[in-house]
Amino acid sequence: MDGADIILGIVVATALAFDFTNGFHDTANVVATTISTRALPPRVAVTLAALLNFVGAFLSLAVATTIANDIVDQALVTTTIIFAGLVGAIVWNLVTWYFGLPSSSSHALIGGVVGAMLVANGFSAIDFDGLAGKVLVPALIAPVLAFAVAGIGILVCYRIVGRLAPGPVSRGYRLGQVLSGGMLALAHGTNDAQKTMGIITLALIANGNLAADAAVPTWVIVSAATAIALGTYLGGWRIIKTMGSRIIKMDPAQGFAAQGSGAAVILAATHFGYPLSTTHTISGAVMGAGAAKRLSAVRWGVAGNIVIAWVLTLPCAALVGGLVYGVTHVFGDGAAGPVVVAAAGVVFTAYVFVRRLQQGAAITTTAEGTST
Amino acid sequence: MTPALATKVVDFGQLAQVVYVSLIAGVGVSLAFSIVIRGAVRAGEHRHTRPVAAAAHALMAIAGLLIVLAAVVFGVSTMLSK
Repeated sequence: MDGADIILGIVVATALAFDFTNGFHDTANVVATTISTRALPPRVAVTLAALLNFVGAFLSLAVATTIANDIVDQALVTTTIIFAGLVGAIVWNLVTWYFGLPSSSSHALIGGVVGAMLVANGFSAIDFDGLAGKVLVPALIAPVLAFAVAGIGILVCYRIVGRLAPGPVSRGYRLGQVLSGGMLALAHGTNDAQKTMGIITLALIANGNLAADAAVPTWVIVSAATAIALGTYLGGWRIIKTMGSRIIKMDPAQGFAAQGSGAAVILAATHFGYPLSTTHTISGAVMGAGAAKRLSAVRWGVAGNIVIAWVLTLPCAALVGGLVYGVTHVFGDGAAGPVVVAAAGVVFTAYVFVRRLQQGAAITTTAEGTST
Repeated sequence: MTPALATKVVDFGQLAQVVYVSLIAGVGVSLAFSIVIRGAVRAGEHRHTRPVAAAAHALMAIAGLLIVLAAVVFGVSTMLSK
């Protein structure tokens, strides 16, 4: 095994770690509304989401292809650049997790890789057309679209069931949330697990293990699906709290409309290979379902913090990705740089977890009032 | 970004499809499932007093449920076709 293979091994391990944090971080998107309206107990909701995330990862490869082909110049990509991009994304995911902010893992990943690529090869290495057309424009449209779809959806729901007894109606929508939450988990798996598949495939191409036009290997699909499902199962309870109760207090009809709309937008976008942020989409849907009922129902201060995190994600992850590439490069082109940075990353991750636990381990879900 | 460049970079036709498919699917499923709930609740209310109305509402609920299930199957099969 030479230095290149060691770097490739570190990259694959880091990519799977990112996928794990993606599931861990984005669990909130999938299950928060289900839990906050008491459609399912937290652990059941998270387990169901993990299973459907796993299944969803096998359904489509359009997003993985976009990540591998349409964002940066494949010919200039090295495994070290991908490693630096992944570290940038993981660091940003951990920071936003620490503060309980539902930012986008997808944009963190793309930002990290673009930042590392910029430092390594300059602006000419970035496919700005692909970045704008496949990432930035859909990123702007998705939350607005989800907001509108959920807003119209909840108005339709209220119009049809408005005069019925609230008890059976709530029970009915809770039941519906099992279905809409399941679709959302499936949509999440199809869109998010593929980003890691795309990155690992890019690394394999860069290392010469695959041809430039090669399909995503099966072991990559299985390992990415497993990592995101495990991350989802272990859950991001901090963000579940923000998504499930701090933006708005939802009733089951709003939860159903938000989840159904989020799933519809993500599935439609995945079909065309847009690496959408599931976080942006479901956050937009949650706000839309709240605002359509009553504008003041949305806690706009919390929503504003989320929007700030969205805006900062791409540049901050790019900054960290570029910085990590610079640090890695100091150690030369061998495996020393990635090994040192990976070790530092493990220490940083442990530090963040310990700090978080010291500041308050008890994260309470609104639904059950229990600590997890 | 000029309009010509924007058109070259962004596939607006594809994005428009994402927008209308999302609208139809998202709002359609909310509509259909609300019909399921309305039909089921009304069918329960009229079960003993107005059996014909109850049967009509039950049929409405079943139709709504079939639409919801069809939407789910369509969504999954669309994913599988890629």
